[in-house]
Amino acid sequence: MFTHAPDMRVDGIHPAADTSRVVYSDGQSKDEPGHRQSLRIHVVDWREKRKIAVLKVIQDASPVVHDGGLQLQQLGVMDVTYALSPDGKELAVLDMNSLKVYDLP
Amino acid sequence: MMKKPRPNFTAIAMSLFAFFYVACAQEKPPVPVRSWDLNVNADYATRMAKQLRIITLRSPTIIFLDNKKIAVTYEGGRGASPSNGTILVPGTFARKKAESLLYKFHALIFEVNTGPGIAKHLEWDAIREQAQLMPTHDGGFAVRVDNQFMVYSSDSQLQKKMTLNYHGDKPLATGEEVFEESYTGGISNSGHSLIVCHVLRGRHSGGGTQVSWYDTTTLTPIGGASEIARAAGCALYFKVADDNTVYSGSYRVDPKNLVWKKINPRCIACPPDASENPCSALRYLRPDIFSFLGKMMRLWMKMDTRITCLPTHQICE
Repeated sequence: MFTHAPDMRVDGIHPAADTSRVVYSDGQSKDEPGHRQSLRIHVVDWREKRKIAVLKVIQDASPVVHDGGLQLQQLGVMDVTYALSPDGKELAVLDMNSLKVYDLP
Repeated sequence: MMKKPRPNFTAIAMSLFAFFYVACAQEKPPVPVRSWDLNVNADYATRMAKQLRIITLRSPTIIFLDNKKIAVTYEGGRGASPSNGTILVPGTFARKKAESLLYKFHALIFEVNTGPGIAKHLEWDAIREQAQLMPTHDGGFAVRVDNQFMVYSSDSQLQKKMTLNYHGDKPLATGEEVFEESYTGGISNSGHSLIVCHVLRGRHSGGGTQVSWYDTTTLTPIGGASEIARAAGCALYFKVADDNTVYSGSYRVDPKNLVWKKINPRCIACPPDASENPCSALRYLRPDIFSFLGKMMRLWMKMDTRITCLPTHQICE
């Protein structure tokens, strides 16, 4: 049995099509030093109740947009999206314009 | 006299080594084996520049079409819709019948081994938000843009296309004005069925959700359409099970029984003090494909719940 950090949400759950592995994120970004923000991505096997991998994505804070006298800013990290391959052996993470593929154990 | 067995130190050492090896391997963050800059695609680079300088856009999506092929979808063009994370943008949260500006729905499709440098780039004109690309689990995919459904082969060639009708601005049967109308698609796990969900409703009453089943390869209807029910929807938890049963929120319907039924909450996780509403969706233990999600949520969020399966708890039906 394993537990998720109590102060974090479980968000963006995407199961692998052919296995019992799922990928999800904390759902809420955390502040990092240097005006940056981070988000953790978790891969687990729910049938085996086993952690497979944890990945931390760090981004600079999003730009402030001025529109109609208002200041708009994206809350949290921008454009981080992820997916598991159908067999659950590869994790693809798109961080802004940087796409990375990870082999998983 | 019996000889006292000696401990097998080799086995113990190997067990400890295996334990620490596994423990370390689990804690070690993975290292990317392949990395690319999607800005090699001019359209994506344009979108990225707009994202950084003008306004925040809806995030792209990544979809594995098979174990070695990836599709990245994103929106671009002048009328691309803003992200839900953007604050103070009019119209973001209002699911209205009014149509947004025309935008382009893009898909970059490439092999994991070769990368996006030689990607297949497809694009569709779109009006309403939330265009979709759905894998058909054979390397191919289906695309829904507004009320159009298209099926593509594993080499990204268009195989079939159908356009469904909008109700439009005509009043509903109740005389009420249309407040929301949208189509959503879903593909069964087998990849053989495309499920189309049509939402048509007024602000206060009338209308609702209706689903239809289609053969993915021919786009011909399978059976009839479901009844129109107000309770279900297409946005949250709209999924298709192996037997083509459609789950939408707390309701389900299958092609052999076209009536929406509430998922029987025979087992409800009630809080010890029972002060909260036991009918909230998170507290169901659903006997379906989503049960593991509920279990995980409870496990990780340490929800102290007890499970009861008494008939008296069927108060949600």
